[in-house]
Amino acid sequence: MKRVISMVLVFAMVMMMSLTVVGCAKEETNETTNSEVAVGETSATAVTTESKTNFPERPINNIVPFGAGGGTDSWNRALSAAMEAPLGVKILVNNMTGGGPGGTGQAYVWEAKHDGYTMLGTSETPLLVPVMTGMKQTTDDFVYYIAGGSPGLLLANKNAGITSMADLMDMAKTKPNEIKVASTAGGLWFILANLFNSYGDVPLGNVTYDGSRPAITACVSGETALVVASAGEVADFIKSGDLIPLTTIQTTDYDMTGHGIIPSVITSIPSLEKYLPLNQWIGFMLPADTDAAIIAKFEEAFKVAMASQEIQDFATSQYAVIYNLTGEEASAVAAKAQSTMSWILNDMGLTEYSPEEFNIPRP
Amino acid sequence: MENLASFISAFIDLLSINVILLMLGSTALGVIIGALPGLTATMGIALLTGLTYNVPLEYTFTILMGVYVGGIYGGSISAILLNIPGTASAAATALDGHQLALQGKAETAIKVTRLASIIGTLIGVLALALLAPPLTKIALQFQSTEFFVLALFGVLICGSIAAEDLSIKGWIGGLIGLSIAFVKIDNIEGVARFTFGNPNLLSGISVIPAMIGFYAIPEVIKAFSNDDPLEVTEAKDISTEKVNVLMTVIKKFRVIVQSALIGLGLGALPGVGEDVAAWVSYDTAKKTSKEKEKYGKGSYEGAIAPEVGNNAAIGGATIPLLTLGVPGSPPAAVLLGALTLHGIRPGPMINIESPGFISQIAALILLAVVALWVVGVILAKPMTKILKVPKVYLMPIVAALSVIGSFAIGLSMFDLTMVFIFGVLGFFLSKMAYSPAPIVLGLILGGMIDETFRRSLIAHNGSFSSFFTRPIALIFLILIVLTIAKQIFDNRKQVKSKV
Repeated sequence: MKRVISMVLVFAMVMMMSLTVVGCAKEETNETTNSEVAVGETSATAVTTESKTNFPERPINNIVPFGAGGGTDSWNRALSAAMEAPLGVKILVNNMTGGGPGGTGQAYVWEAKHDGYTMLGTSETPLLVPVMTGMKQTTDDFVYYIAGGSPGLLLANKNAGITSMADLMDMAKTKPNEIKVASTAGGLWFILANLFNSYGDVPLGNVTYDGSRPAITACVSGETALVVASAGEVADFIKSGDLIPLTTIQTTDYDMTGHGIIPSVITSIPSLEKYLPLNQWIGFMLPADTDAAIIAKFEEAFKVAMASQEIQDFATSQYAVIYNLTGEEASAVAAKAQSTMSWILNDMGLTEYSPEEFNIPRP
Repeated sequence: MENLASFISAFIDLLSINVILLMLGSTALGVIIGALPGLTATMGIALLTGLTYNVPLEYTFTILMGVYVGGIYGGSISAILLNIPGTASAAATALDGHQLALQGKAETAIKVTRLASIIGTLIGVLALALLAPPLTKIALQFQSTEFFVLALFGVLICGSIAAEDLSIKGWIGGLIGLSIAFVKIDNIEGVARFTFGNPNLLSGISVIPAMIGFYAIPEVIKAFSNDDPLEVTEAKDISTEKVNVLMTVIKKFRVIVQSALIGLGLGALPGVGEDVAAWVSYDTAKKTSKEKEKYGKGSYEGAIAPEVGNNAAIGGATIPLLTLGVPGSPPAAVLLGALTLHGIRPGPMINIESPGFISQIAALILLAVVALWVVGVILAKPMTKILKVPKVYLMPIVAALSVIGSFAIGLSMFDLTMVFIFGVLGFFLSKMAYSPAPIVLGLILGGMIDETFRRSLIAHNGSFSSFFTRPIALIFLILIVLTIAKQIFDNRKQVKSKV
């Protein structure tokens, strides 16, 4: 009996301890609300601009809706580090995965206070959150800070006997749907891989993978003849000669450092022009109803970060094109990409919800 | 040579005071976890993966590799002193180890097995450092077809070996794991399967909470019902016979090499881990020994063979883990979860995506070997006292760590719920003598089995031919057929003998 009692006691004690630890994590968010209230009370009737200029007073959370080590994550870690100096506070990057194209992270940021202390690291992929998860927020509900991105390429395995778009188009006509292109299972790279078959009259089969990197590995192993991925992710395989770049899925040619000019897809398949640009871009976003002064503060810090040598070097190492967009320009890019991507996927019958439900206009 | 050089430079890079202290601490923790009955190496790694989520990458794997190496060795201490293997892989060591203790040679036995463990791990780590990098080049040729047969073979072989009584239970366990793995948005067609509209299930059942549930919680529940104090032999020699530990071990050179090769090979087979390596090493050593009659009555050889085997399996199990993303043993399966959690995607691309990571892991295991030697010397005596700590005080800690660890990973209450659901499920399954290893391996490899099979068909325009025309795939396919055939054959024989 004694044993049972002591066991229950110890168990209860340790559970209590663990709950306090767990509770701490939660309390942090409570504390922020308390301090908010406190600030509000002390300034009482003071003009709101005063509290605005105080921003930021404590560390900012950058929620990245994808896993650590990916493109969105590494860009946001670099950006956050570069923005710490101009903002004067720490920016803590947290990964919060799940919810299809980044829905879990987006929902978290939307639910949090719109006070600038919770930002959402992003790429073009979360633009599909409405049509894939049914969450209501569209590009109208956020402001965007677009840093840069790596151009999309179509590449062939060195043993596939394809060295140019002309080769590919001939071969695809004789063996429709038998030449396979590897891509991610959703999002930008999936859409780009399916452009050829759906809108370009080049009948390619598509095999999808859990991420760009497994797709690239599959093409290198010869499982598929082709792969669609970003220049940054395939750079090593282009260098080693395992993969041959055929075209860049952009409106202009791409001069890849260390390789040379890769022709635009429009030169071989002009009919694709009206679906472009569909570019990868990475940056971060804030709820649009955040205080205007805070949005401006972020803009200032973002511009400083983008001008820094660290970010320039980082972009080069990622084979990225720098976009450096904020304000209306960024919103326009985001809105256009959301409309094109959502409707292309919808036309393919691959969305859970119609873009119409969210008033996303047809391109 | 190039691989050796990068391994050595990775080792030198590690030598900072933080890493060394951390390695000593975590190896000691591993030895204790391994030695305490009920706490296994696999459970230790699973718990610590959750707890170290916010620790920098380098330190995380220092801790995890330390616990891994320490845990596999630690089991032998309780095997010798208590005749209870603290970790399943030490079960074979108990046969002769405890006999030695009864003869009053406990201290020497511990020293001998420690040296055997160190040698075994060392051989394993050399194989990892030298073989893994060239193997990634071969692995780059692996297509979905190969991954499918390899993963399926892993779950099958793990199932047929891990089960305690009927091997069909291992396969049922594997199927349970596979079914759990189906819950998520399918990666090929993007269709949600078995999520029943619950958004938490869209990205699937997280592996680490499930593992903590399957490995830790059942032990906690069991401790409620059963709490006998343990009979511990003192770790002191009563016998006055002088034994030179080094010479005892060196004389068994042939057994060491043989057991190390067995350990490496079995460790590298997906799903077959340290425990099988130990048994096969012991069995082979006994069959090939000149002093067969001494086995089971306190033979040093019988204590050396399984310890070399199970520790060599660590390096062996890490090879397919890093080069193919297919874990070689249950603890390696947990490590796979830890790797992906930290953004490292093991597989053929690892040398390109995370250059030097293989050497770094090898160097960490080497450092763990050194730590094991130091820790082993320090812990040998107080271990008797540690083993006397009743489970009543131990299990609440395990319970609390389970909760904190699984919550820390995603700060999600849903993960916690999963820990409890799988914990209770795991308890009932273990009552029915189902081993958690095939379930967890099925859960981990389920996605791979499902997707690579379909991808292989899509890529080959619906034709099954690639399973027979690609040589590596064919070899594993034959092995799969043989494993199943052997099972049916054995069952028939059992049924007949009963009649």
